[in-house]
Amino acid sequence: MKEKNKNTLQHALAQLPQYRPDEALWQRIEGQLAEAPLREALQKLPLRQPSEDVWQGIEKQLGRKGQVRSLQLARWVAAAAVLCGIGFAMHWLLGDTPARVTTAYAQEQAQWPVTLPPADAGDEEAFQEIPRMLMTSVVGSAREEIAGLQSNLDELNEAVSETQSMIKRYGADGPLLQQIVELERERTLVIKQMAALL
Amino acid sequence: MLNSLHRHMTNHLLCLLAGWVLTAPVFAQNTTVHVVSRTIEKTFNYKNGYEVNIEGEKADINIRTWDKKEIAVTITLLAKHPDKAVAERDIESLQYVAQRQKNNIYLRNFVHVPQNGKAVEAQLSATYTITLPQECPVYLKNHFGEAQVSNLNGRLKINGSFSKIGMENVQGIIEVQSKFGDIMGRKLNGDISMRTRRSDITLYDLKGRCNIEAAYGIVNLFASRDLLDLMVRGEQTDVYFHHPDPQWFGYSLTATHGKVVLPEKMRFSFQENLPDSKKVQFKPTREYYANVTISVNFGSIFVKK
Repeated sequence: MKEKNKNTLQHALAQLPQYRPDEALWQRIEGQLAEAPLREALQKLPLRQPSEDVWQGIEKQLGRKGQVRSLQLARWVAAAAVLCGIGFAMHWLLGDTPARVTTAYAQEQAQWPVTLPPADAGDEEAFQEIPRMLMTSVVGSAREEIAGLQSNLDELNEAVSETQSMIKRYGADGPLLQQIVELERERTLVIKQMAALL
Repeated sequence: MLNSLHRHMTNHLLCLLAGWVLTAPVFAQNTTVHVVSRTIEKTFNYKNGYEVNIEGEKADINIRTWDKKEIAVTITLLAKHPDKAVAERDIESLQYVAQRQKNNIYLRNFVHVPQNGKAVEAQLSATYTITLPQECPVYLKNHFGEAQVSNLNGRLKINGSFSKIGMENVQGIIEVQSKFGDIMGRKLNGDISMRTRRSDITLYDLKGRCNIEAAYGIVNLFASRDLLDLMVRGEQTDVYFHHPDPQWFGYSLTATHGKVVLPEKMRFSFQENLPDSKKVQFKPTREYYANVTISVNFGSIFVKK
């Protein structure tokens, strides 16, 4: 019969998955084939009862082997027990039980977003300008007082930037913004003291 | 011509509107916020010589004691945001350490945003609950947040910045450093030393030996009869010393650029009484008594019943 869609058939055949049997399979078949004549020969062999002594001898030997085996097993069990003991002792001494980590989800009502109005550019200018004016205009004994106020202001500025860096890493929340507000008030007091000296 | 004028005006209006939207303040409103909490529980066996070392950030730390020879730690990491996906993403940035290295048990939390990762948008924080034997030495560092320690009887060292610190019924060697964080103590006894800046200190039922150096703050002390020795040095700090029977102690008080206010009917001797410098002493009639030495610069001293 003539095949009508030869190309399609060939294409489909080419797409069929190929299966190559395991090497071991051939070896097993060969082994079974080789055993067949041996089995035939075995059936033809004459039957013969062994004497009682033979069985007794075999039993004796088996018994000794069993003893040897159980002795080896006991050694392994003992070694394992010692290892377990050491492990348990180490575990007890170090006490490092693995951490139990759980995650939970909840909801709450809260004000969002938590923000402060943006800093006033004029304020920032004053914080820069007043100390600068003071350093250039005041002479004599007031210098010491100004130096004290300046270090006070530096400390507060540093605290503001520490708090801002915290807000950046941990997100803005009530206590952090409250901290900023308190620092701003203290900075304002220092600036007022500085302005009074001008 | 008219058309282009119309387009120009529309653009102008749009710009104005955009400007108004951008500069208008964002008003907060009550919103449902998703809270993702990750809890880590771990127990360490305690042996003599072990020390607990805590380094918290934005953490609420609670340390208490029990009779077991164990240190039980529960750390809860929190992320809050109205968008659950954001809270879930940002909790991954909040990391912790809870491990023992030789004799030190280290507990720590910190924020780590991977390179090219999105900046944190959620509100992150941590809480620690640590239960340990009362004799276990503790070194506690906290940057922002709050710490509360109770019933310890060993060695306690605290280094706080922007963190409130509370201590109740703590004995032994107590060493506290703090900046921008108020300290509240009740029933402290032992060898106590504090160095603070911009932190108010309030100590009730104070016993033992106490040495305080404070700058820019208010020190408020309520002494017990078991106070053995007190030394306070204040810089731009007011110091209040309270006791129901102020004559129980001997005093040596110095205030520069400040005043000394004393209880009536007590015979203090003024060694110096200038407008900007005052030195006052008092000795009880008993042979042995505890000394209260307070000196302040740009601050005042108040002794009260």
